Amino acid sequence: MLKFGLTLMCVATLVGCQKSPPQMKKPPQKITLAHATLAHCALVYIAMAKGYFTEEGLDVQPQIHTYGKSALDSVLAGKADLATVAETPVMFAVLKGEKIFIVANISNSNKDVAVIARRDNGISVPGDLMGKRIGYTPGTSGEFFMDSFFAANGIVRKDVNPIGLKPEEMVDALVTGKIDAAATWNLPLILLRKKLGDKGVTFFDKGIYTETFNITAQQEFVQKNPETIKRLLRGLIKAEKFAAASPDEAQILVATALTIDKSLMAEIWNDFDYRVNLSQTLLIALEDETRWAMSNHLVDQTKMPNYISYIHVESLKAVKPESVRIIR
Amino acid sequence: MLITTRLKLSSYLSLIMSSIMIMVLLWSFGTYKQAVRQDFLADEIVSTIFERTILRDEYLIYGVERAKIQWTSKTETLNRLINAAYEQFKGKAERDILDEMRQRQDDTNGIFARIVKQKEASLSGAKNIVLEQRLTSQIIFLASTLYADAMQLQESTKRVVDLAYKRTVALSSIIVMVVVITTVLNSVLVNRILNKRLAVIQAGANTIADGNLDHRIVCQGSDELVALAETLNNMTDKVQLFMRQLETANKELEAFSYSISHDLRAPLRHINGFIELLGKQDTSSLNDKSQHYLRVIAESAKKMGTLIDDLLSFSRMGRAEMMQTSVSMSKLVVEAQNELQSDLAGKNIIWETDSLPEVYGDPAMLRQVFVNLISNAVKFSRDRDPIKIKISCSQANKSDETICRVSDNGVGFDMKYVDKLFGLFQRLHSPEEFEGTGVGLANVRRIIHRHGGRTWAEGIEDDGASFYFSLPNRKEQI
Repeated sequence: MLKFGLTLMCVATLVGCQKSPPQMKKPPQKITLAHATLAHCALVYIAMAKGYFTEEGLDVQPQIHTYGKSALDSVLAGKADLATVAETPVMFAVLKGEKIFIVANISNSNKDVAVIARRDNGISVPGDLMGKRIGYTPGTSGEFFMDSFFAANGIVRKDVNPIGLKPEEMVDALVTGKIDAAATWNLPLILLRKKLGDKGVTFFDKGIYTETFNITAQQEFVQKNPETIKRLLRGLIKAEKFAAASPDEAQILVATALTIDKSLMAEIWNDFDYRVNLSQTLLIALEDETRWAMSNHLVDQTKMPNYISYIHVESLKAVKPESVRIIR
Repeated sequence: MLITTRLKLSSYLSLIMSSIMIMVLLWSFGTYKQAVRQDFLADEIVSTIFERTILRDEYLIYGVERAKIQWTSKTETLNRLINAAYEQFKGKAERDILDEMRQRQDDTNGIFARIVKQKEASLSGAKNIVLEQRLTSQIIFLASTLYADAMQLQESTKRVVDLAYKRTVALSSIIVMVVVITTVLNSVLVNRILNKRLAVIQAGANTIADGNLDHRIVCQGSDELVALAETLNNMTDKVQLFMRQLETANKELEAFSYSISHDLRAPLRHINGFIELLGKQDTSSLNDKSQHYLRVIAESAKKMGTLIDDLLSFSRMGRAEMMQTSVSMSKLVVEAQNELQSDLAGKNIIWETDSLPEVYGDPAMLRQVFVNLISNAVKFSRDRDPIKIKISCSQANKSDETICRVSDNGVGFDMKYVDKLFGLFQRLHSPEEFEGTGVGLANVRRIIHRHGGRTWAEGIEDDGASFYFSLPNRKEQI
């Protein structure tokens, strides 16, 4: 009986060891990912640093941008395959008739965007913003938050002096006094808070806005490359698990990628929810912002698009079905 | 190792193993029960969030006070459930989810309070639609993520319940298998040892019982069965010693009997001789009494001579060498009848003789058996007309002996004296009733015993008697 068992084991081992002749590994697929140098893209930085994209057979070429709208513009111009961007620029692009897909949400936060103001310019409560110069980046979540903040505090746009600035201009503008306040997000926000110290006052409002940051691409690219999308998502999901399991190490990786101090990253880490998913809240946010854009005449369209058509669920459903919570 | 020690050890081992297995099973049941409790709690949380969502919508759409009160009550319930969940869930993943849920609860409460404030403000005309919309979007967003967190918790608990259930089933199966295997192994091992030893002891005992008193049971080990074998060996030693002593005593007795008989014959011959001579003398000078005395002396001497002859013959029967051969019982009967011609002459005898088998034994001795038995049958049936003598033998199926029977229709005997029948010089009737010294059946018994057989008799007074003897169906005789 023992002999028979040993013989069987040997045979099984020999059979198992017999591999088919090694196949030529395909070279990794090159894709260009336009991403913003923001804490919102932490999962992208982790995936790149840990080689998760490479594991999935992707050669992800990063294209650096200072904010998401810029990254999306690169995709729309055909200079990149995918972009990381908040939902606000996506909403504007859709209303302009662009054919794009959101394939996944990679982070969200209701404490990322704020209005930061200079106390020494007489601003200590939201009402003090009346008549002040407020920097904002048009067509972004910063602009939406600013108007929502105004609405929550009984301010209308014409009561203030909004000045359009790029995010990378915000810090210098507020520090040098070119503006009295800025509606912006991290990292400019945390840098301003550090620089202004007690001279600054930050107005958060968790009740009026939750920013989502998403992976977007042209619909044609997604339709032609469904496997590529799945592989990218798998890489990001691995990064999600790593971030949950080893937050300290993840913060170091992201801080290194953003060339900031780890302590800064640690300070804002818990303001973000780093998960790869697609939920009904994305639709709600897009529709909310569409109503805002239409009512503020920021766009010409008056009909609400069906944003379901601009969300690609199939790839994420294939790799992580439990994270797809959009009602279809 | 002693069998009792082995059994004790086995019992203790079984007890220890059973205790360990029971403890493991109890632990597994405990974890399963806890997992079920956690699962139930997660279900309650999900259900409460769902109910609160409906109440939220009711309030947002209709602004009804009842919905607000119920929403508040459900929020308190949810807070309580989340706190209870902190007590139940100790794993990092689950506690991280609970931390998020708590944060979202706090945010939700804050936003709902602002919504209520807006609704109340709008009643007085200060409606801020934009703010209401923002707050509504946020509360929907928070409810969605809270629900997602609760679902994640629920999925986690269901996985744990499933795992705990499978583990419990697997453990139970393992325990049952282990119990069965150890019980079977134990039985097999103990039985093997017992059977092996018992087989050796039984074979040895059989060899000794068959007559080989030199055989000793050899049993390896140090348990009770080995001790039993030793005891049997000791017993055999004693039996062998007694047998030797008995044989020696018998031989001495035989020699003594022979010697006495032989030595007594010489003086008896003198007595008989001189009585005969005296009888030939002129006895007219002797009175009647003296002549009577003379006759009594003569008869007594004659009787003594017969007794001595019979004793001698009986003694010789015990000392004579036996010849072992195949013997035809039918032929023996015929020879016995021929030898008893003078006793049979003139008598009306009906013989019923069945077909008799062949046996192993000494032909001369066995012939003497039939001579004695037939002679007795004729003697004790002489008043019958006709005399019926039946001779038969049987070899029953699977029996290792042949049983022969000689029966008659004579005077029979009282069964209470059956034990005396085969004794030396034992008689149930007086010499005046029936002649003889009472040595015939003693000789029959002695001969049959030397052949390894048995003798017995049955009778009814005045209604005949049957005399049985058995002979082993084998070549070797004791």
